[in-house]
Amino acid sequence: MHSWSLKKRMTVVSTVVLVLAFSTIYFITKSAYTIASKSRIQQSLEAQIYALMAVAEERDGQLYLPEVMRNDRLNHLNSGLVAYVLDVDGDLIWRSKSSDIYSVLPDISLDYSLTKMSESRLENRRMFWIGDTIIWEHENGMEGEYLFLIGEKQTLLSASVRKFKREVLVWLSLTAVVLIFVLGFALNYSLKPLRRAQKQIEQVGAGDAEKVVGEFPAELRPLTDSINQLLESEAQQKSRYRDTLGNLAHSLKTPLAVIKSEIHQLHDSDHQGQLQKQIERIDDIVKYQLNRSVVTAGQTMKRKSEVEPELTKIIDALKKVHREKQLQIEAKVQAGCFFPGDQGDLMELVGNLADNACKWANSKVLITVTQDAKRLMINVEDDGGGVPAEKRALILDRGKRLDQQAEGQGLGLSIVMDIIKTYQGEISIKDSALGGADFELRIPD
Amino acid sequence: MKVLIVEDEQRLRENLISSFKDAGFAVEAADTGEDGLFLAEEYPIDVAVVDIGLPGMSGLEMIGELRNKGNQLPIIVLTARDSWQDKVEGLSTGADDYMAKPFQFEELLARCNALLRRTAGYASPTIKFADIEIDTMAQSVTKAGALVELTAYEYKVIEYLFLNPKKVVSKTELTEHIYDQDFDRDSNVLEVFVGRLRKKIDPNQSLKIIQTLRGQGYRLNPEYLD
Repeated sequence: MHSWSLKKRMTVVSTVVLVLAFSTIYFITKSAYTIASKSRIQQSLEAQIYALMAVAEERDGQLYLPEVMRNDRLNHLNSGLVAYVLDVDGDLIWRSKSSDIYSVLPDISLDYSLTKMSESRLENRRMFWIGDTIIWEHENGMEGEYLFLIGEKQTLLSASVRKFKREVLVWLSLTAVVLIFVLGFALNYSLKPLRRAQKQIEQVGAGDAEKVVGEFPAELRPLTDSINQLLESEAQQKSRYRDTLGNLAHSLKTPLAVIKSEIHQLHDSDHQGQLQKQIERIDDIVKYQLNRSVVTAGQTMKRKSEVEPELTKIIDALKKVHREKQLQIEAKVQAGCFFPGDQGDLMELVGNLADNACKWANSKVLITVTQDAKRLMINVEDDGGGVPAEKRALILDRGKRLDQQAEGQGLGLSIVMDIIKTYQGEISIKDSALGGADFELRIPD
Repeated sequence: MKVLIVEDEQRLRENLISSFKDAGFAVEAADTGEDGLFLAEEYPIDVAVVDIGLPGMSGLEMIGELRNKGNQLPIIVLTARDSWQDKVEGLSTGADDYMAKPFQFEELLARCNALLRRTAGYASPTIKFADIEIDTMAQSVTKAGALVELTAYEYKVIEYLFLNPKKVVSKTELTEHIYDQDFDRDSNVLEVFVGRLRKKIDPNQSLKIIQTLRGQGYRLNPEYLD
């Protein structure tokens, strides 16, 4: 499953909760209001029906009700309140004036009651009814059964429910909007330390920061502390690794130096030359493997090294080493260039290429560094003899293999090509405007 | 010329001592940074060869200490680690050149000579006064293009004078720079060397290139200085 961001999750969850809660509140309020309204209507109708019964009087064995009632709603057409008195056969005894607009009589087959409202249509109009059957004892000793019915148009209720609904909706929406803002603010506030941690971890990952700094909430502290511990142990391990390699180099190379000095004491002979050659081979292999194992590309945490200060150090060193030739060694570095790795690798790349350039140059070496969004470009140029086009491929090809070092490029080019490979970069040889060779490195970010 | 060798590996140190002696150098040697520092401060050393990986005080610490005290002695470091980071670290600490182990003695010697010349202010390995030219690489002397046969000590004397052309060099100084410290010093021997040297490079005594300043020492005839 695709993993959503915390912010997205919390936004979705809060929205769902908000929508569910507000819908529930809306429906409960609405139905409570409807129920309350209905019971109010029922009570009012019940009161009316008693009033109706109170004004009924008997004359000549017949039941009469006044034409004009005290409740004005029964006198006016369109008031929505109607009343009927029917006999047991469904024949009309009396009807309120307000019912004159209806041509039909209410359905008497329904089970009317005083305590429960019945619903039915009267000429396509939905009505609430309550009714009661009473037995009237006439003066002539006869008994008559009459149905008193009173009804109210449902539209009156639905209009008031609609109005209530509208009002509730407006208030609920307003509250929801305010709540969304408050929730958004709360979310932002709660996620702030997380965002800060995220930014710092990203910076560390991209090599822009050494470690995660600052105070974090208790929930995040184990995470930030572990990251710092990890970084620290990686750095320690690296430095231990370097020390070990240093000791290894020392313990391998000092005996080699002794052997070499011993050979020097021997008289010239074929053997001396052979021994000398073999020692140089061993030395090259040791040198190549040791330098190679320091290459740090592909580490968990990316390192970034500023190019300019390292380059200045290298140029100072080269000026010392090649002082005899009185070379003009210049660097043109685009401001803010970063090498996507350890400074040791950067020094190895530039140092070896520039050292070769110094060996071949007549008077001038130029190192140019530029960077765009995709890659870092390093050009090392000299004003020496240059490399003829047909030999370039051969030199680079030989540089790939330790046992076939490129002529005149020494071990340096092999080391450069090895580092370039780990960084998935490219190397090419071109003609320099200075007149000599231009070794161009392209290292992707 | 006096070289100081600071190397803890005994066999390598001994071989370096004998190779430098064969090449006409006076040699002081130490096996720790502390001893090396003492020798470099107390004795008239012209060039030092210092191993970085010394027990106790490392070669770099020793060089840093020397430079902190304002000692500008030319130094070549010997290093087992030859990554550029290590080279740069060594050179920026104050070393003047580096040699990665294992090295060819001839190259170390050539670099020592080059450093000595640079310290004296010469760019090329040959130095010429009047019609006499010395080649510090070949350790040979020619007069008007013809080779002059010199013994090792005679060469050491003329080389030291040529590398310090504007200076009056006392007999003590000259002795210290061409002899090891345990050598039996006798200033008469030095006078014999100088006398023989004068005869060889200036048989007619027409140039008078090496002057004796009574009570002070020797110097090159200022007439021939540019």
